[in-house]
Amino acid sequence: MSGASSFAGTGSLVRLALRRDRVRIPLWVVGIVGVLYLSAASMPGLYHSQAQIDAYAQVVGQSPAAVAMAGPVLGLHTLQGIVMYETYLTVIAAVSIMAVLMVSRHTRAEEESGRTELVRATEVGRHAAAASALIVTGATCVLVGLGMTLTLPATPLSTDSSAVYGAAMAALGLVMAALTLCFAQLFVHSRSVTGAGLAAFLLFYVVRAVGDVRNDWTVWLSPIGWVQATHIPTENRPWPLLVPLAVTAVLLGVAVMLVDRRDFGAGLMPTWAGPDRAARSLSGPLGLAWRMQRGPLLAWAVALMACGAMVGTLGTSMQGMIKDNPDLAAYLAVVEGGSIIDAYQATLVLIMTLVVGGFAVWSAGRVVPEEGDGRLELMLAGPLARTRSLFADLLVTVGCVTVLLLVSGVSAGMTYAVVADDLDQGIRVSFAPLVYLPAILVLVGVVVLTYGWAPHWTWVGWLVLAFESVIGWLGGLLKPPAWVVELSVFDRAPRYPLEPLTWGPLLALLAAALVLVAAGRAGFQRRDIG
Amino acid sequence: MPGHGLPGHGLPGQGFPGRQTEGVDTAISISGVVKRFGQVTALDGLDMEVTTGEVHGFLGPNGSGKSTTIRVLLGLFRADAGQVRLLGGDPWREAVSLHRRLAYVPGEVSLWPNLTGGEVIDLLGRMRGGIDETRRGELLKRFELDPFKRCRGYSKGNRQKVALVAALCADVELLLLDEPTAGLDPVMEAEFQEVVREEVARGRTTILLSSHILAEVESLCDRVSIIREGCTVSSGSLSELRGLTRTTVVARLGRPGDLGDVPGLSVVSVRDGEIRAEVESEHLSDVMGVFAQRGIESLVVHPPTLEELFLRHYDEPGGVTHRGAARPGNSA
Repeated sequence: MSGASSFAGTGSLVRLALRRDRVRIPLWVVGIVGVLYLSAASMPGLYHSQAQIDAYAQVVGQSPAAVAMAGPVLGLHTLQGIVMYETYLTVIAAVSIMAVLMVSRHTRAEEESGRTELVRATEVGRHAAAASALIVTGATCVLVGLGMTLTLPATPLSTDSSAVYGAAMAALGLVMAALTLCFAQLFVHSRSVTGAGLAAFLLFYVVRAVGDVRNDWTVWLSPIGWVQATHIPTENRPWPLLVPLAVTAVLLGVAVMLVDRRDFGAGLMPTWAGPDRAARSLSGPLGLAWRMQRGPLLAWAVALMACGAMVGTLGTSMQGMIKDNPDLAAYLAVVEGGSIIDAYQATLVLIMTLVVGGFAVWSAGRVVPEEGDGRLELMLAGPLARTRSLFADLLVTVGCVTVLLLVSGVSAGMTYAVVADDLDQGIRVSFAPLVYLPAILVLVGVVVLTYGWAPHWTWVGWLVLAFESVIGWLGGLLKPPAWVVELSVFDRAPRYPLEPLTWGPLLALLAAALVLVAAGRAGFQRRDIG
Repeated sequence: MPGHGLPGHGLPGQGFPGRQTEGVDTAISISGVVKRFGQVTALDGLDMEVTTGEVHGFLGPNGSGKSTTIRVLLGLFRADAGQVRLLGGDPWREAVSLHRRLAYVPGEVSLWPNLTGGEVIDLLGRMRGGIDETRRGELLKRFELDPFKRCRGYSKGNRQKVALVAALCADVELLLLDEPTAGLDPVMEAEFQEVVREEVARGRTTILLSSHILAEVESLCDRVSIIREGCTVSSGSLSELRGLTRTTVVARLGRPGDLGDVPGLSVVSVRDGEIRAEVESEHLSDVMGVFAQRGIESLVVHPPTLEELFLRHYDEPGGVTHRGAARPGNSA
């Protein structure tokens, strides 16, 4: 089979993919474009005088850490520059992750599940699955780009900048999609494909960071460097985008070649074997839960450590900037006579904590697929009480959350202690995230409650976290009515180190979490499993 | 034969040890069990009795409630009505202590993708209080299972083998097997039957085997229960089930004529002169007399296969059968 016939059926597969992703695709597009628009549009509210913008530029422009993190800083003395600096890498990461996940989902995940086999037995060519995955993902990337081009002119960005911004993101998405398509031919499991795609993104990010700090040709080794070479918002040159487009074409050729070389269901990379005997620790529900979560815990810990280090290093330089900008001070909830550094660190600690909250909801919700796929049944068919099974998972979740809170805090605190030579403040910051542990436990409690009674409703946990994030992140900007803020669990916890540590609210949150867990357990004892 | 008299497994000379502390000889007893899921009634007054030490076949089409029954027996589902006793206990209330004495192989085995098969076997075995190393090694070899492989790489059949090895490693009184050979190849299926026979030879394991594969049930099981739409339609030993019913006759007659009103004879099909019919056991000699008069050219008589028993129960919910159309007496 070769030529056009090997692509037969691509159209129907595209329709199938669109049907499967009719919720996902709009969510990605609206999510990325929406968040970008909102944060870009909020900038004029934070920096309205040139002096404030210059202060920002001075802080960021002089820090090699900032350059390593977010890339070359261009036109920072304008609001557009600030918008680009604050949004570019987040959007680059979001689009790349979207492309990797979508391609993996429509290629290897399908093949692994055996559904592709069902389809391939019909009048569908060998390349149709890969082609349809690329078409759907590519179209979504283009849609994101178009959305940006259309909405961003309503923010400080110019029409030119918006168009190049959108085009750059579409081109980046295409490269990442084509690369993931190659990985999908190499690896047998969708998890490995996703892992390879995300690892490639991290590598591109690091290569770009090195190149940006050294300010040399190294950046051209990374697709992120290619899209940054458009030099938005100063030059807005579209021609560097020809590089990702050309590379996409080459990668597609490679993918076609790889498809021709492999058997259905097989990959071109060997799969690693594991131990034939279980470690001593893997002998019950606790050991199993730990085994399932230790990998993700390590990844999150590394990410949060890096995040904390950024928060710590930028701490000193923020001080001068906030002093001259009352809006920024208001956002950070600086209290009269209070320390600016406390306010800054309290806010960033809250944001890091919300990220840990994401881990908590994911980790507590892990029981849902365990039950749905039938693995819980296998465990409960042994001499294992339901409560013990539930609490083993819960214990691991709480343990991991505590570790992550400590890691992010100690990383931020100790970096600050070194940079600012202020050990006392460093120690205070180190333990600040732990103050939010009871609030996170309430979040976990919500997941346990819904899981115990109706496992299809555990998404409510994500809803609560989304609400908490909006209040915690944007509460200072949106100024919602007081009663809405009152609903927030995270808002109940003292904003340490800005506010003094008060035990009352923390104990109340802890009690609430315990009640939620107990109620969830009661439901889990009563309902059918499986 | 491998597997006989393994060290630490089976106690020779101790035929029926007094492990049934209550002295009951009923391993499973289900009566009038009802289980509803919203509007759907999965089990509708199910009755079943499994005697200690027997291999009991559990037959039924897809969606008839076999897996639901087994989940009720495991205390994973709570019955809405009826009585369930398992090893002398209540499976819902005493799940943990009862599960120490049984092992289970689900119909659709899902394993932890990042654990290896060997790790899963160890995990499940240790939860039951430890595994017999020799037995583990022997079963891995017999089922040709690679314990180094990650579960995400296993085929359906291999995942099933992992669950089978884990269950058979356990020294238990009761095995609940839900279509355990659905993904196995014929060689492995034969191996499975061999292992089950050895388990039975040890003389103290009760096995409930739900299956589609009638040959498997026929060769392994002492008694069977046939279930349809959540009700038991038939239950008993294979010979009882056969004896109570009819004998299958395949014959070629010189002058077939009208067979419509021969008492006790019901014709299933007539194809190219070959008559396939069922004869009620008490009318067998009368029918043979009629056949002899009409000149027998060829004759095969055999007890109904389980297939025929099985199909009969599904064909006749309200007495309607597809046989009527083929009756030569009507069509001629």
